Amino acid sequence: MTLLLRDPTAEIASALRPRRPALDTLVGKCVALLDIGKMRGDEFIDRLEILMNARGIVTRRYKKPTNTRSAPIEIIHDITLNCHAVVIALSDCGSCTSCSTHDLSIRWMSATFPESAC
Amino acid sequence: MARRFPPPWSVEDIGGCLAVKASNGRPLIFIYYAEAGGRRSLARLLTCNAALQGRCTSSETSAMIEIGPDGLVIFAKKECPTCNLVQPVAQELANRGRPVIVFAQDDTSFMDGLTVEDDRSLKQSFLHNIEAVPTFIRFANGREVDRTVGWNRSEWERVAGVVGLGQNLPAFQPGCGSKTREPGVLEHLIARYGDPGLTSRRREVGDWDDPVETAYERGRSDGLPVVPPTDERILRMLGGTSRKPEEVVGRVPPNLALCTVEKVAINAVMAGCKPEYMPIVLTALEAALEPIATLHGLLCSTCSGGPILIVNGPIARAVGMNSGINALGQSNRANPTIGRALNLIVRNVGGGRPGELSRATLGGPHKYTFCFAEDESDPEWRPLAAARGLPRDTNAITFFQGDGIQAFVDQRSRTAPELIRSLAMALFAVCHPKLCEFTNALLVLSPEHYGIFRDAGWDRGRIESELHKALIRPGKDLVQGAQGIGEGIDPSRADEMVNKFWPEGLLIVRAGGKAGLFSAICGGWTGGRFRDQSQPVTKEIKS
Repeated sequence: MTLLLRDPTAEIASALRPRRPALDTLVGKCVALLDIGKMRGDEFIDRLEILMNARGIVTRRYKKPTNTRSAPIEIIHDITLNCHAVVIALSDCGSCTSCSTHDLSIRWMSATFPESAC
Repeated sequence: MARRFPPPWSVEDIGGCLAVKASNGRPLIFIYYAEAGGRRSLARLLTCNAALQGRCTSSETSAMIEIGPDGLVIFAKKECPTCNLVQPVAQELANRGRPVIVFAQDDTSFMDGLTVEDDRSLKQSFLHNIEAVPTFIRFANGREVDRTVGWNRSEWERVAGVVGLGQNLPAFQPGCGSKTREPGVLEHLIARYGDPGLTSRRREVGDWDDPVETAYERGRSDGLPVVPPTDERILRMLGGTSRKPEEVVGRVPPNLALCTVEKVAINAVMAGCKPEYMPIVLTALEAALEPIATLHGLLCSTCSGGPILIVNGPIARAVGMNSGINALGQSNRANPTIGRALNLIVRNVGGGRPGELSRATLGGPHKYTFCFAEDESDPEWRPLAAARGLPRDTNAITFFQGDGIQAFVDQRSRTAPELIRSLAMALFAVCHPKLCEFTNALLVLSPEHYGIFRDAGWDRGRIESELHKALIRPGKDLVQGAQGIGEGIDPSRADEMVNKFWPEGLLIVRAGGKAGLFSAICGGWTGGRFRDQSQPVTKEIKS
């Protein structure tokens, strides 16, 4: 007799979304620099900020309380409202990368970046 | 044997028998008048007509095809003394023109001279919600109009509509439990003949396939065999909680997928849990899903940490959890299956599969399961949950983010101060001897080691405070580069005296066999370095 079992999974599938088109230029745009709290992430972002500002790119700094969780919604909202692009650093391995991916994929990509910000 | 056909039907007398036909005219079944006695055949005909006229539900229809729209029915089993007692009453009713159909739950040779239907499948007993035998029912126009349970002369007379029944019998005798209510039976019957009320999609296993192997092929196993989650088992598991199957427990990382009580039950079945573990499993999941537990990070981390569950309170003893010999190892059913259930939920519901978003560099056997109960046999000892703020004897679970055990061996320290220094020396090794205030730790004190403290009059508070004092070292020896080792604390702390752990970062719990001066240390996960963002969680267990 055929055995029927129940599915132990959440019965969901990944949604594939097209990537947002790249910005034509960063000049005059606002780039969020999100420090996720990993060791030496701040050094990386400090350097990036200097390099960007030198090229006329406006930056806006953010910091997650911990890399082990997805970002607080307030941070996501602020970035979404005020920035055109974001750099998340340093997501280099396991939990930090997973949480950063969530920050990008689940919340970010569904949000609408403003035409003008900063 | 009854067969069920979906309506609509039509019934046609074709001479000598009735043809029940589907809507396209194809005959479904022929009912011969003389098949099993005129009355029964007639009853079946009337039942079919009743169903056709929409006077009954599908399950009632199925039942009535056996019973008929009018008549008396006894549900009985041979092993029941009261069922044997009423046998002459049933015969008496038949003799007085009130024929009775007996549905026998165990032996069809029962009730000689009467019409006995085989109900060893318990289908009819289930469809008529029989809880005890004998159950005596009267049907009229296809519907039950009266019933009584056991033997009670006046009630039987009322149901049968006759007087003077069973004059030689006592006036009253209670019956026995129905076989439908024997342990584990009802869930089978619901799965076969009723509506299990489960919403998870069904997955078919081929006739020639092994369900255990299928779980591997579908990626549902943690590497060990899982128990196939049939409806019967899931329903039985759900019986272990008062919570509704559709209730949402929370979102499980890494996919942040909604997890219902039903999904918890399915994975608990697969893990090998018993229904009485469900409240513990549910609370373990709730604790793990507290934001401060940082389950997402713990699961996806490249470090080796995993959930460690410590159960306190009477429930631990009630469900047979082990806090004694080999408490942290293989020993019984409850400890490993409760811990495994949580990890299977994370894997199957949350999508946390190793090699995908679960990224541990090495992992460890504790990531299959790590769950145990605290030894609360010493009334002078304040158990972990009580120390973390819950009233003593509260059923509770503590979710600790940690690694597998580091054995602590000290068979020569005989005084409390000696043992404190010795434990501190071992605790320094958590994560790295030169890292401080970087993670938490769980110290599992064995009875013999604890006995040294108890004999010295030291309680939990004293042990904790003395340990913290012993865990303070000069920063200059611990800074990065000191002792020729790159790892270490920030150089700015060179002039400080630095504690290995934050005050709240060392959890002490008692467990283990009575013999052996051997305790255990479980290092905490490195995510604990975010002191205010990742902490152990203690939660009361409710039903």
